[in-house]
Amino acid sequence: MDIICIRCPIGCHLHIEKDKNNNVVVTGNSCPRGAEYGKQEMIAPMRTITTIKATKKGTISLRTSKDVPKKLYFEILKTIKDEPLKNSYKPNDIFIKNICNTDADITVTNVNEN
Amino acid sequence: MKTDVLVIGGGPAGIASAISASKTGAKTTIVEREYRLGGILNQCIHNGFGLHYFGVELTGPEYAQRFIKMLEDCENVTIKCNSSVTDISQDNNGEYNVQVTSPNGFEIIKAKSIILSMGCRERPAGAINLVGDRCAGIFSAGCAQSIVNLQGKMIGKRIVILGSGDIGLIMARRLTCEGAKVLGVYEIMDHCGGLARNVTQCLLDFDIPLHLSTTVTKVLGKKRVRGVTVAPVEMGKPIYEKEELIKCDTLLLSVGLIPETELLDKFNLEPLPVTSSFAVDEYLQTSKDGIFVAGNVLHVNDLVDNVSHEGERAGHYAGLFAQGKLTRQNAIEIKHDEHIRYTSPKYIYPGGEGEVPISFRVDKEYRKVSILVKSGNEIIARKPAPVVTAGELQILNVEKSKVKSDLNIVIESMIKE
Repeated sequence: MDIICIRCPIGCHLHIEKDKNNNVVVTGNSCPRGAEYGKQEMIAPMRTITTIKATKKGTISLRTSKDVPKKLYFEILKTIKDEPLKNSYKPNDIFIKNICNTDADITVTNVNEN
Repeated sequence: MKTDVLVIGGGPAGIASAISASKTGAKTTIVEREYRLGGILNQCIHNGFGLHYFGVELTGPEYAQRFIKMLEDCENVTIKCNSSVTDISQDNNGEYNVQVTSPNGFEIIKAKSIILSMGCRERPAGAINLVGDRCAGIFSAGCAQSIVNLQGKMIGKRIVILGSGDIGLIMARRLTCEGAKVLGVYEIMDHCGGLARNVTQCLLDFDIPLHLSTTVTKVLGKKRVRGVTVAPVEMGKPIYEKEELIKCDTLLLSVGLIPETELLDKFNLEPLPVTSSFAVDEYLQTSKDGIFVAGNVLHVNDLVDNVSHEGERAGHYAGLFAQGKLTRQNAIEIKHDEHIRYTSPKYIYPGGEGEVPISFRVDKEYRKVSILVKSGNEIIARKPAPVVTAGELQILNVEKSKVKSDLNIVIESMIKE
């Protein structure tokens, strides 16, 4: 498998394959983060998800507190859209705890209301 | 009101400038036209910021908040939001008189030095001679980003993106996540304008096609966009026989940024035509004493981390200038070969302590090369590069003590002929 690493702006060309003992081997990376990313991408791709939720006066911007399985991308987005709003938020508030049983929280990164 | 250093623009460049200006002991004022600091970072809700500066991947707002907190902890700093600078002039004592308009009325701020950190505007449809109807549904990518992320409103359902800059790629993903169908990203050049990782995580992850060497030839629609025609491009010209209609209701433009420099027109600062901005010395000072520049208004950066570092340099030297601790010496011009489009700074002062980071961009992709910095007959810095692309800003640190009477940056092939 040949992919571009997304861990930093360099964008290393990674080559990932399994050796005869079924170990995942990554080449083309220039740092340990790249090797880790390549391995994970072969096993089960993970992503940080960021989105917004509209409020009465604007939006709150949101992120997953850590990487979550890529296959849950749209399920997580829908769960966020369906979650009812509370009165007010501030940065670093937890919007949804343990989103879709991923062990990651949805946290507020900013409140955009003027 | 009087201040030592006045910073125009409260985005990442301005915030970093103000922090480091105040650390020199200078009384510092930062003026921002929006209701809060942070600039474009506030609408960049995606992650990928701060890996170099903080060692962690942050979203735009998180990166901004860390810097805003540092600024608020500084002494001698006045923050003025909802304030637009409408004019700058210089009085007989050499002080700058800056006109500021805000809900509190009109005010003149007197400053000994100024830092320009206003960033860029987006290149609009008119600037690329976009042919066709002038209907609703044509947005620049950053404008769409503001509407979607800050106002929480959607801009369309079936979307075509022209230009493959990073903001366009990021918006392809955002709009898909908000339920729109992004039909494709069309790029007139034969290479992507944005970072390779954004092609992966914004397009490939969502099966959005990227069409290189292809452009939008016409916009169709009466009230609202109903479609665009696209055609492949050969030798810089669209092949109209191969034109194809794509039904869509929205066209997004991600076709470049223009530094917002109009405020300075009257000063006739030495320009740098390649960047549509100004030539600066290693202090990031323009040809006029006391006017410093940092961030995207100086040259478009790929990474906010670099913008913050640049802001810190400009702020430091603007602070020293305001206190009479910075004088111009005899500068030498940094020369470069034809593969390098420009360098920033353009001038360097030979000798002395410390390093000067020199930023530059190349004209196209090169593989297996070495970037060499030469002074006198010696190579004083060298950076081997497996790949350098036109889209990546290169930064090389040069030791001042090694700089003699000239400085030349060249790209050399590592394969000996």
